[in-house]
Amino acid sequence: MRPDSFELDNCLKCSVCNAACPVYAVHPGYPGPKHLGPELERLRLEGIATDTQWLEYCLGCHRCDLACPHQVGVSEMIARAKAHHPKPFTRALRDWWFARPGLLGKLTTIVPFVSNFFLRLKPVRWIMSKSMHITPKRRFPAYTRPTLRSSTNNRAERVLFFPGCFLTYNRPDLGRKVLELLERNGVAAELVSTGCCGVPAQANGEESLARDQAARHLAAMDEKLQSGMSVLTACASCGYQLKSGFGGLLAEDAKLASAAQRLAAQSYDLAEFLLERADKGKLDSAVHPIGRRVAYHAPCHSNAQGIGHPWMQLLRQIPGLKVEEVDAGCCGMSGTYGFKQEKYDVSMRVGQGIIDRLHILQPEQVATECATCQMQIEHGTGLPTVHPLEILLEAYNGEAI
Amino acid sequence: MESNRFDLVVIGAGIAGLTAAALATAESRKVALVSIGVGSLAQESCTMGPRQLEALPAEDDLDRAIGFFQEMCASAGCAFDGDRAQVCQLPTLMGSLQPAVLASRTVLNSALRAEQPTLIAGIGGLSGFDAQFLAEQLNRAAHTLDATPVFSATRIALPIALGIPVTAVRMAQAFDRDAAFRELFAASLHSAAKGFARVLLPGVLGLYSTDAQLAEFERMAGCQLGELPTLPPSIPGLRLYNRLIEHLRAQGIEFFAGYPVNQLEIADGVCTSVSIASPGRSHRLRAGAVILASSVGCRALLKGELDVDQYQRPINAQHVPVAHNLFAGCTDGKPGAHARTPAGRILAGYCAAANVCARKEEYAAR
Repeated sequence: MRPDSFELDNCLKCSVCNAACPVYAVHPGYPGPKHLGPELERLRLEGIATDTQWLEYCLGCHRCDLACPHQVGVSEMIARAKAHHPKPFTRALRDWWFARPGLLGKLTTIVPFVSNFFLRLKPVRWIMSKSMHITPKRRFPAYTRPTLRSSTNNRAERVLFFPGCFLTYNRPDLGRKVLELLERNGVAAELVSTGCCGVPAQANGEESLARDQAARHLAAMDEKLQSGMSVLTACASCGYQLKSGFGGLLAEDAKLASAAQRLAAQSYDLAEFLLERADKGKLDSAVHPIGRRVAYHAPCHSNAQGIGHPWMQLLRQIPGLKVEEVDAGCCGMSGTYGFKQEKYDVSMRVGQGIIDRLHILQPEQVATECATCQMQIEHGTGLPTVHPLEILLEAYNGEAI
Repeated sequence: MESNRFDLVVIGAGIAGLTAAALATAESRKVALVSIGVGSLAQESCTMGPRQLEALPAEDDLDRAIGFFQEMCASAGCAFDGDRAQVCQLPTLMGSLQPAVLASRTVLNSALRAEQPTLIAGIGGLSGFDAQFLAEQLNRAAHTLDATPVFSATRIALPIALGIPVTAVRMAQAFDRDAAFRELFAASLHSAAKGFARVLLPGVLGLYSTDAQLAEFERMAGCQLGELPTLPPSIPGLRLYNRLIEHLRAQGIEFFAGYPVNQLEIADGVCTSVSIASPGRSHRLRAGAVILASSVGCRALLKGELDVDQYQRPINAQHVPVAHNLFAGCTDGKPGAHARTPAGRILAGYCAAANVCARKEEYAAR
């Protein structure tokens, strides 16, 4: 992707983006990334009104960007236009909540068991579907008290850990596993608890909220970044946002933009970080064998980081573990997208490729580092789905988790 | 533990890069393939005419390279058929006949065959493929070659919502994903094809379909099917690309897609690493050897025109290799000449990888 002003002229209309688009493949009405991106962008730049409901149907998977032979930032154009797309009140209300998973987390975890109880009740789900267009066909992930804390021990090397909303409010146990994995390798992690990374805000058309969130994170982290500390994420979408999202959001403020650049340069996916330690011979390689067949699904936002498949490389090092890659495209969940009633069918049709492939592979377990990919795969196949770090930690500890 | 070290890093996933990566993998090298988007195969379906092959040097190498490429395609489930000695006439979208010797199986299936009545089927709603026009033009073209006119035209309607407008990409995606669509499609072909042994179609038979799936589809349609690639993207070309990438990844190639290489680190005549301009910071791959298989990328990275020595290593103004382990998989062996044809690219990629593998000890990553 080439972020310069000439990029529109780089579009030769070859339609390779359409061929890569998961929504174009399953929805006959969707005009495709070529039309919603560069084609309409020409008109938008001229100030001609081109608003269309289809902007909302972009998954934000970045597959068009990665496939484009001329490095046009197709999905960015769509995302910018999406932010100005007006929605009817009930959907706007829903998207207001979906843009704020942190707030949702804070409220639901005041008394988590009550929230979980209510969110699972059929009448409640029916009311949510009627009043807010949230599909009753999916279950919300269980909420739990935000008990994740920084490492307390005094390791030589310290890093920042950006847990994101899911690890904070739904899976603090998974967050603790991240810390355990790091401690095992001589690294102490300090928690960055400034909330949501901003991907849900942008996906739901709230650019200014995402901008505020970005500025808040930078204010909290910048001093430590300047001292050279790395920032780790265990969520593909948070990771992609830290690496590539803040710079664009804060481009108008030179000071914040340079802080965003610093953050981008010092952000690592957990596996990327571990693999880099392996390079320096600093990764504990004392792993126990695990006799199991695992299918690994690479989330779109992990692909978009341009770092290959570091989790796949790490999992392959575990003796006895048979790892196969799913390699069947996008899962279709895309964070809050799959929860939206009008998009549920599209989401499931996109995910069908992975579901079919998993039926052929018949793994005992699926591994993927994105929380909502996990939800979609479990929803579509019923297969137990975990974060790959859980398998790695299991191999370190030599026992089932 | 294993990490970002590779015996060979190939830059560019066009037909040259894919061939180079496959050869090195077959020789048990650990290979990384880096590309910005889809390579040349999005624009062309890699069909080779006899003159392309005659224009290339190195007869033995060429036979080996083409043979290797055909083997690779066969094992990836996207057969690339033909025989260098047998020239056939392939119809084009503009209604001309082009001499060809090698092409994807379904593309080669469309070749002019004397005395074989052939139906050209347009698809309702799909613009840019006019069966009537094609049949008239091809009959005329056949006549000038002293062949009997054999082409007839029809138009099939598919009772299924394919989107507005219907595009070849959308049809191919439906073909891949939707069994009901394939059944309807095959049934329409079956009834249209009565009295014909063969039907020619616009290239729409899937972006991922394998030879076995296509054979099954032909069985359902009750006739042989030939594809004519339409305007870019070329569906048969993308299918070849997708199948080869899937095959190579299954063989263990690490594939870095979407971001360009922004730097080659060269010190003391050795290229030690390749940096990918991924978001945030460059992603560095340590390389035992590097093949530049993108002519655009080559010019940008080496900052100038490309001359190569006899091992296809780029050389500087003093005729000294830029790096001993850096090879150009985008020139067809002649100094300064970029490989402009598919056959030339296969040869260039094959020879570059063969040179890397021949210097095993020297270039293997430590």
